[in-house]
Amino acid sequence: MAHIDMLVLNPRIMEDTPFTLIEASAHCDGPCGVYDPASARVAGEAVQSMTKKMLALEYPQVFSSESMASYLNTMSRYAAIKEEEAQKCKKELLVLWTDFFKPMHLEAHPELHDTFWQAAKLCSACKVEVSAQHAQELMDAIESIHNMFWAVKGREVPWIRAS
Amino acid sequence: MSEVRVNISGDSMWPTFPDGSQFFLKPCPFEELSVGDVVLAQHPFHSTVRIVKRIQIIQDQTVFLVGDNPDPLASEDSHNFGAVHHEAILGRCEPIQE
Repeated sequence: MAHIDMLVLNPRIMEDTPFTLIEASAHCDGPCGVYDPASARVAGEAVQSMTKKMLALEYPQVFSSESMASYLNTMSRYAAIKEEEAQKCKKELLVLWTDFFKPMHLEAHPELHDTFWQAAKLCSACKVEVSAQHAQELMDAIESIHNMFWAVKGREVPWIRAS
Repeated sequence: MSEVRVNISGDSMWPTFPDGSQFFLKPCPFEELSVGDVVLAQHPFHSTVRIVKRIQIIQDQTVFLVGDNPDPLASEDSHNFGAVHHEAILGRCEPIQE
């Protein structure tokens, strides 16, 4: 058993209090400091952007093998990116949900589980559909998660978009 | 020596002891430690870090320390770094009655 007076003490606190105070860590193993909902937001924005591009893409005015190939190629690329980014967004959200947020955060944010559940479902919906409404609802859900996340961290970080 | 208190920083002992909770630190011989005691210990891998955990198992000369937080990701404890030698235990944390 080590002697208490051998411990390194906190001199700042010692000056102000009639007792000696030792700071003790009660933290988790994970990289608490490097989570950020921004990664989900960027993926979500890509989903919304690809959805808009798919809906805006006009059918070729001149029907030919070449024009159809170009049209299908463009549409396919939009669809592929949308699916990939929707899956990435879902993964980023699930990491935040299961790894960053802890049971005590439910006290201040009782809507946390439902928000993440709906957001994850919207990722899946955006993956299989071409829905501007669901893409916007996904971004709204990510904004809610952004607000909960930074509230838990005790920081005011404004919601921003790259696009 | 003046009274020594321990201030908890972090959530691994939530909900029993939230972030900012304080204890008295009392010297305690290894033989008097019991399962369920909350103790201050030296982190086995970081020489400048001291941790507050609860004793779950005492076996031979080692102590298995755990957090109270029910989330398995919320506490870095003996599940991560294994049981610690009893010499790593710096004292028992006892409630402050004020």
